[in-house]
This record gives sequence, C-alpha cells and structure tokens, in this order.
Amino acid sequence: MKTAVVAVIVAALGLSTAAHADVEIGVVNSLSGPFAAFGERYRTGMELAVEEINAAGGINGEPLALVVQDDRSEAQSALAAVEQLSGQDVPMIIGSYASSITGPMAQLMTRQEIPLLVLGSADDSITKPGSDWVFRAKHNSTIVANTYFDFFDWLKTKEGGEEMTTVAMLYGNGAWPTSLAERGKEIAAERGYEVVGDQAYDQGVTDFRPMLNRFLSAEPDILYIVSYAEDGVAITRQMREVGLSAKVIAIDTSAALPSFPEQVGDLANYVATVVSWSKDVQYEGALDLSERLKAKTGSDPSFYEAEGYLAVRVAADALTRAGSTDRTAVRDALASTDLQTPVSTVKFEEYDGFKNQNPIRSLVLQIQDGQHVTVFPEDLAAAPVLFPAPAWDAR
Amino acid sequence: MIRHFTVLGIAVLAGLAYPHLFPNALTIAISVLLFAGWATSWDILGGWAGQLSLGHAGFVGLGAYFVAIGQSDYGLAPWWAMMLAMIAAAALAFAWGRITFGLRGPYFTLSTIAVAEILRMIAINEGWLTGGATGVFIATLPEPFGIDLFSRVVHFHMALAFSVLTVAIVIIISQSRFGYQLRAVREDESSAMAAGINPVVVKLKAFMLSAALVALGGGIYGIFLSFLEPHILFYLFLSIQIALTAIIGGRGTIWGPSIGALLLIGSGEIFRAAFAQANLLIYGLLILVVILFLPRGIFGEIQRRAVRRRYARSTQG
Repeated sequence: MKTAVVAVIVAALGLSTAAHADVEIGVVNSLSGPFAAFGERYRTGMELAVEEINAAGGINGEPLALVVQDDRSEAQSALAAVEQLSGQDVPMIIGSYASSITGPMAQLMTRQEIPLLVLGSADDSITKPGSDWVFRAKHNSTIVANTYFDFFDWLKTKEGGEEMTTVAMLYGNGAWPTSLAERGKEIAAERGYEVVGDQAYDQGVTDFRPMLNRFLSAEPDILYIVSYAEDGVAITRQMREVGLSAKVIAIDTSAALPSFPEQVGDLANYVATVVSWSKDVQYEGALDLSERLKAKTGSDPSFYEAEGYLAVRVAADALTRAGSTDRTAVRDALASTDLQTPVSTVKFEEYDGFKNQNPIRSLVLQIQDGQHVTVFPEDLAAAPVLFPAPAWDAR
Repeated sequence: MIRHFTVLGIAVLAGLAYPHLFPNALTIAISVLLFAGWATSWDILGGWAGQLSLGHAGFVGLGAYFVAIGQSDYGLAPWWAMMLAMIAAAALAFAWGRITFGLRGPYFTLSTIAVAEILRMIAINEGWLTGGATGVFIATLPEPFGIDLFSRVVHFHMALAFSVLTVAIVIIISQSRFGYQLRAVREDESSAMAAGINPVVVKLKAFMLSAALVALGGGIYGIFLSFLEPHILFYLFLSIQIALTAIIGGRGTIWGPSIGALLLIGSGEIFRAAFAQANLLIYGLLILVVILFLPRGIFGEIQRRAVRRRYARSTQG
C-alpha cells in the first residue's frame, strides 16, 4: 500500500514536472567578438520579450525559455552552435546578426529542416530565393532602398516641394552598404533619377574629402550614403568642411545610432535615415515598449533591441499556435503567422522573388534638434519633415 | 617514417569512428580537421622552409571561390573546381615567390599580407566575377554516386581526407632530399647555396605545394559554408589563425600543426560553450601561456625534450 502511494506521488510529480517543462527556443547570437555590441542589444530585446510572454502565461501555460549560444561573431562557431542546439531538440532557432553568419546557418538549417527565424541580418540573399525553413520578420536591402526612394518621391509631391532628379551615392564596400547601394541604383533608374556620383570606399578609409569634392561639381539633389558608425560621422563632418550639401541628405546605418547626433552635434540636423522601428513611431504599444526597454538598460533603445523583441514575439506566437514542438508543425505555424506587435505587423509572404519575408514597413527618421524623429510614412510620422536642407553656411 | 605512418593510420581509424561516436559534434571536428590541414600545409613553407606567411587566407578564399563560382556560374563539379583552384594557387605562389623570394627578413611576410589583401579587393570589387561584396551562395551540388555533398558526414570525411593527405605529404617530405634542402635553407641560405642548393627554387617549390594544398582545403571549406563572403574568406585574421595554429603546435614538426589545431580550435569551441562572453579572453590567455612557456610550440617542445633525454641516456650508458 505504502509503496503504491509513493509510486502514485512519484508519478504525479513526474507528470507535473513534465507538464511544466519549459518550451525552449534556440538562439545563436554574437555575444563576443566584433559584433558583440549589437548582440548585446538584441539580447536585451529578446529577454524583455521572454519576460513579457511568461508574465502573460507563457506558451499555452508553459514557461518560455531561451537556450542561448554565442557564435563569437564567426560562421563556423554559429554552425557548431546550430548543431548543438539541434541535438537539444529545440523546435526552432533564432539567429544571428551578420549576414555572413546567418547565410551559412540558413543553408545548414534548410538541409536539416530546422525552422530559422532571422534575428538581425538584412541581406536580400537570406530570403531570396529563400527556403521553406527560413523566415525573416525584419527588413532587407530591397525594402530599405525602396523606403528611401519612396521618401524622396514623397518629398517632391509635398506642397512647395522641389524638383529632385539627381542622386550621388557614397558607400562602404561591406556586404550591407554594397547591397543597399546596388538596389538603390536600380530603383533610381526605375524611378527616373540620375545617378551623378557613385563612390565606394574600402572600410577603414578616414579621409573622404576627395570623394566629396568630386560630388561638389555634380551638385546632386540627393546624397545617398551608406556607412558604418565612424565612417558616417567622418563623412558628415567632412561634408561641412568641403561645403557639400544637398536638398536631402540620407545616411544609412551610421545616422540611425543614438550616438550619431551626439558625435556630430548640430551637423546632424536634417539628416534622414531608414530604420524598422523607432520609439516615437505611431504603432500601438511602441512607446510602452520603448519605456520598458529603457528601464532595462538605462539608455535609449534602438531598433536593434526592437528587432530582438520582435523575433521572440514571432517565435512565441508560432509555438503557441503550433501547440507542439515538432519542427514541421512550428514551421507551418510560422508560415501562417499574422501578428500585430509594437514593432511591426508580421506576415510571411512570397513576393518579388522573396520567400517567407515579412514585408515590414520601414520608417524614415530625421534628426531634428539632435533628436531622431519619425517623419515618414505620413501616417506613422511623429513630426513634419524639414525640407529642403539648407546649405551649410545658411544654417 | 614507418612509426609516423602508424600513428597516422591510428588517427585515420579514430577519425573514421568519430561520426559514429559523436554524431552531434561534427561541425567542430570539421573545423579542427580543416585547420589541421591548413596549418600543416602552411608549415611546409612557414616551418620547414622558414618563410613566415600571413597571407594564406588568400588561398583559402581562392579554393572556396573556385568551387562556389564554378558551381553557380559554370556548372563545374567541385572536384574539377578544386583541381583548378590548386593549379591557380600554385601559379599565384610561383609568380609571387619569384618576385619576393629575393627579399630576406620580414619583407616576404609583408608581401604576403599585401597579396591576400589584393585578392580580397578583387573579390569585393569585381562583382561580375565573384558576386562582389555581398558574396555568393552554393545552391546546388552534384551527387557523385548518390553522395549528398551537403551532408555534414560527407564534409567530415572530406576534411579528414584533406588533413590526412597533408600530414602524409609532410611525413614523406621530412625524410626526403627535398625535406633536407628545406631545412638547410631555413637554417642558413648562404650555407645552403655553398652546398649546391638553390634557395629560391627550394622555397618556390615549398610555397607552391603549400598554396595548392591550402586551396584544396579552401574548396572543402567553401562547400562546408556554402555561403561565401569576401570579408570572411580573405580576412587577415584567418591568415593569422592558420599561422598561429602551426606556431602554437610546433613549427617544422610533423604533428605540431595538427596538435595546434586540436588545441586552439577545440578549446575555442569548449570555451565558447563554457565561458560565454569571456571566451576570447581565455583563448588569448591560453595562447600567451603557450608562447611564454613553450616557445617551440607544444609538439616542438615535446620533441626537444625527448631528444635531450635520449641523448642524456646515451651518454650515461
């Protein structure tokens, strides 16, 4: 009798622990090495999402947990991490930041039939042609380049808008700047803009004056610049030095960082940049999310944290609907995602050669009085755009 | 020589058993084997001939790009692409060596960095040829005899065959006339010349062999990653990693580079899993400790002690 009771208790305990086993999502993130600064931001966003989901009851009553592996900012380690996570039977994996890491991961996971939700990579090639197992809720080069040109087109139609026909492009030779510039050139041709300047520079260049001087004589209406952090700061300062201005100055990546207005001061004003999310965007819950992120880190959140948050929300939604941790079921659930979050709506679609890509709406931020302000699209804008940018000596 | 081949045979058997014993740790094993092969090949030039190269990533990239571009643009099977890559690498090494082997001291090393950088710039800027800065995907591969070249187990066997091949070549070289010529040149070029050896020819041969073998491994690496970006493949850091692997293991020894790969890449993976963010710090400390206390490299030091002990015993006895 006694043993029977014990057996029942043990069985009940066993059942209850089984019922409360965490639902685990694999994460491959760059926590050490050159991309660690970004990885840290993604981590903050992901952790916030997990807290939120668990406070609201988890995945069908079971707590959600992340199994995080560091990829040391390199592809080989990421692949080893995928293998390890796969051995732990995770239903899906979220990862990673650089396209050079996520690309090989996507290849491997497609072969091994593990759902991959892209965390931070924006290169077109990850979802174009894409695969049945790779999903991206965030933007890609095509979406971002299109947003810039939608913005330019829109400025022309504004009341008292000025005619703009010429674009000068300056960009680093890394994967992201190059792909954004190449897409930009294609779109410029489609929409009747003339590219009057086209300069790529090797990462590590610090003197951009010769290139900027060359643009001076072309007098472009639009400056389309794609640069990583320090480059963008140097370019902005040197534009002032050589006296190169334009009606629109767009600087991608670099100008989106919270540190950019601090580093270049007043020169940052009028600069426009495309992001997938901003704290003042008019989405429901965006402000609340921004405040919670700020409370967690003590500093102003960027779209990196938001993208981390978005990835976990999408994963949790799919796992909830799948009702199991079977990889095929999770893949099917991801494919039928139709989700509203404070970062973006999410729906994975097949279009223009892309597969399982969320056609996320990107925003244009303009720096006004040292603050990033959402100015486009109009229905999401927090403030009117300042246009055209005056010449440097007229400011 | 027979002793070395026996060890190699045991290593092959262990290697063949590995995928059955640890089916969930293949990626790391492939990395270790590739680095063992690269470092062993590097050592033919860097250790046996004493010419320090910091540009071998260029050959890795060459091999990987030949396979990827050959497959995606020309429908060329990877084995042919790898052969072409080996020829191209040897030709490049020949041209490069002809120009720079007249130089002594650090000039050759500096030139290697420059050549790898030139290759990187070509891969980035000549988009029509290489896919440019955004890189190139390997979407399909042929299936010889029904073997799926995307399978991890197949990658493992390719990497195993590659590293075994390089070690076998070095074992043969170490006992051959060519091996003695290499060491003579390394120790003193003038004396080697006095003994009737043409140092430039010897160094050129070593460089070409080393380059061709690294390109072969690069081809396997390309298939393994199946997504190539020039910033990763022609990266100076990869060149340094290859050189470091051989130096830590023991330059100019048969087993040193392989031991270096096992230690550096293997411990890198263990540290990654165990120490999270601190992993690179601990990795750096490990390298520092080896350099401070084992200046000849791990295997080099073991070998030296063994020789000294044998000598001591023979003089006593």
